[in-house]
Amino acid sequence: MIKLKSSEIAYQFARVLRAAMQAGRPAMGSRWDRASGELSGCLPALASAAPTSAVFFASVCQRFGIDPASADGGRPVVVWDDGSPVPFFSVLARLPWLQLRAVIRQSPATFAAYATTFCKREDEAALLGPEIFEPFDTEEAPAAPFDLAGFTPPDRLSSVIVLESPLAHGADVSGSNVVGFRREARFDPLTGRSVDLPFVSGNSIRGLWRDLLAYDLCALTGVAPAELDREVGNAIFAGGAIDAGATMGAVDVGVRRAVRDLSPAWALLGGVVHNELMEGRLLVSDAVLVCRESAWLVAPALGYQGDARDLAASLPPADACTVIRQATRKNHADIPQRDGGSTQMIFHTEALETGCRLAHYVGLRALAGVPSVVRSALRRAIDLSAQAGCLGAKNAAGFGLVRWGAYGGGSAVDALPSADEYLAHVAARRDDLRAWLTGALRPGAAQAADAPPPSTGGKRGKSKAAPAATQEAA
Amino acid sequence: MTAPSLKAALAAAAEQWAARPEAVQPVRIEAAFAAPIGGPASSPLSLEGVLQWLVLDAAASAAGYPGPFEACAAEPVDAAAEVPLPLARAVEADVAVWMVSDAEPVGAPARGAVRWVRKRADIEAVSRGATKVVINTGATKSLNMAIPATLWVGARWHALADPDRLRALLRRAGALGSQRAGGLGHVVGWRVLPGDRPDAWRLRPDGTPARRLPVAIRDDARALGAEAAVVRASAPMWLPTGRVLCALPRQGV
Repeated sequence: MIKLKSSEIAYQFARVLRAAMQAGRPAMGSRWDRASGELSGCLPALASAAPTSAVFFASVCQRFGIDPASADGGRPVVVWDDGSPVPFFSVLARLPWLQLRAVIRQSPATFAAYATTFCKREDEAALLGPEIFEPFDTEEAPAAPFDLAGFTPPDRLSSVIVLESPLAHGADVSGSNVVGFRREARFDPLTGRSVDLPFVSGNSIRGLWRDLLAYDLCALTGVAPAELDREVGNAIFAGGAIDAGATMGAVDVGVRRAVRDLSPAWALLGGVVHNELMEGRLLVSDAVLVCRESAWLVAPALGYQGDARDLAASLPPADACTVIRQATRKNHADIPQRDGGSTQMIFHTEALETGCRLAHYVGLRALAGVPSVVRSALRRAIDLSAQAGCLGAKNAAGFGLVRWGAYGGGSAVDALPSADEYLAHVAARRDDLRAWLTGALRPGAAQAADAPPPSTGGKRGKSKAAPAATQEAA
Repeated sequence: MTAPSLKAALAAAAEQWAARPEAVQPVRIEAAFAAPIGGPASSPLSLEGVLQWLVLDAAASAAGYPGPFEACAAEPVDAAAEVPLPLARAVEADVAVWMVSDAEPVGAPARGAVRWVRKRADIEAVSRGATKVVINTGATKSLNMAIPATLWVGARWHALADPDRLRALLRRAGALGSQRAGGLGHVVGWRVLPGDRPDAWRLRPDGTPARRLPVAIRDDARALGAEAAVVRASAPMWLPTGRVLCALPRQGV
């Protein structure tokens, strides 16, 4: 097959897409008014799920109720080259699928607009010519493969997470009613190319562990979430926030020490509470799909000792690991609707396939290791997530059932003890924890005399800080 | 037994982490990354801060503090002068600097990226005594933030350093840049190799500064083909005090 430039691929595909959409327009009715947005939203996800260009094109046409074999007045959809009709399947056969998919991801809105824009026939050559797609020729020459020999990994723990149902984790930008799977450009040092790699963000896993530890703490101390002091509740569940009126430029050592001593989970994750921004000890990496393009990265988590190229050859490509799951929302047949209208919503979710694996790493930030009870809190979080067996979005709809592998490897100082030490700490400090969670105790309040003097007057909430500090000192 | 003071703990840390004069040699420090690094492309990727935090944190722990902020709040130290690192020091325009350059990209050119970070309050946990919970403002505001990031394949620093102690310290540096606790800046691995130019920490091959270099007057910076500004010359770079006139390395990748 002759190697085509991205702009040529984009132009040819755009022409056949336009031909199909224009042929199907009469049957769409008022849907045509929204077709551009819908098309822009569904193209990347449908491209991700399709193994070939033919399947992809068929899925796009099916979505809009177009039969490409007969949409043009009973005849197949064609494009015109020098006055001769070229059927759609001939055009698609000339276009390398992987390259076409990458081109579509560059700017689905361009293809959607091209397919649906109104244009007089005599203006087509000027307005819809191939020069529109010249910006698609942005491919970088592959860089020299990056040799990873001799690199020593930092001390960290690793795990492999196996998907027992499709996993959803929303893309940064999704269009229409198709939610794509989150991807990010990463460099594959084995090939020298940039790839869009599916991943689950480390931040989302931190959030999951924070939630689990917070709910667990509430259960262990007998405090219902609705009984939590609002500031403390926001802190343990969401990391807290710096309030207007905070006394800035000062550090209350007593509060910081007391909160960390009281809650090992807080020492682990950090956040803002009592207007003190405290850093945690936990580094949570992204969980990366185990695939051909990530072989070099996931090898340590898989315990693979050989050449990463051999591992890459044995793994599926990232693009072969996603599925599109359709869902519908319909009105209940027995419940009369207001205004007699019928409301049905169809939406699609791109998800990682059941059976895929994610490689995940965590690290602990401290030269000589963190206290044992803090590591025990991490073990508790991991145990809770393994018990819950869920990751990502839409768990209530069946997505994201996972089998969470044990975390191992790393340095001896990072070894995770059992969760018993953390649980024993919570039991021993239960009364203080209850008081803190309900707002009856502000840890470190005995050191209020050492706290920085409240600011008086001034703008933007400093006057609010003054009465709060005055009350505390009293 | 009472814990030592922070200063005493830092002095003890010097025995473990300061560069041994007999071991100092030119080195190339390289890192491979698996995720974009938080921070705009114009932000220099400095190694000093990472190393300094690790040593300072260990000293704070030895002194009985939960972390560096608490320790420095209680016992202020001149971090640039008192935190020992396995790097050699030089004096430029009467200002001491660590002999380590800023990073340069390796493997492929670095380029900009964006990481979206989301945060939502747990409504039930913040609902006590409230008839409404506001999620579009205030402490419980839901956030969807775009964090500027830079996709580095690998990075290289040049230094005069004690390689063995440097390797031991780098093993504890699992991620660099902002938002590193949530996945950005993931370091795949480090390696410390013999360097080729003894002054590579100071000047790039084109003669421009490889790091912030204190200068006496702006003309000295121009002579190096560089702009000048009053900035910190050593970590912590965010500290507003201790700024001096420096010739700046070319930023942006």
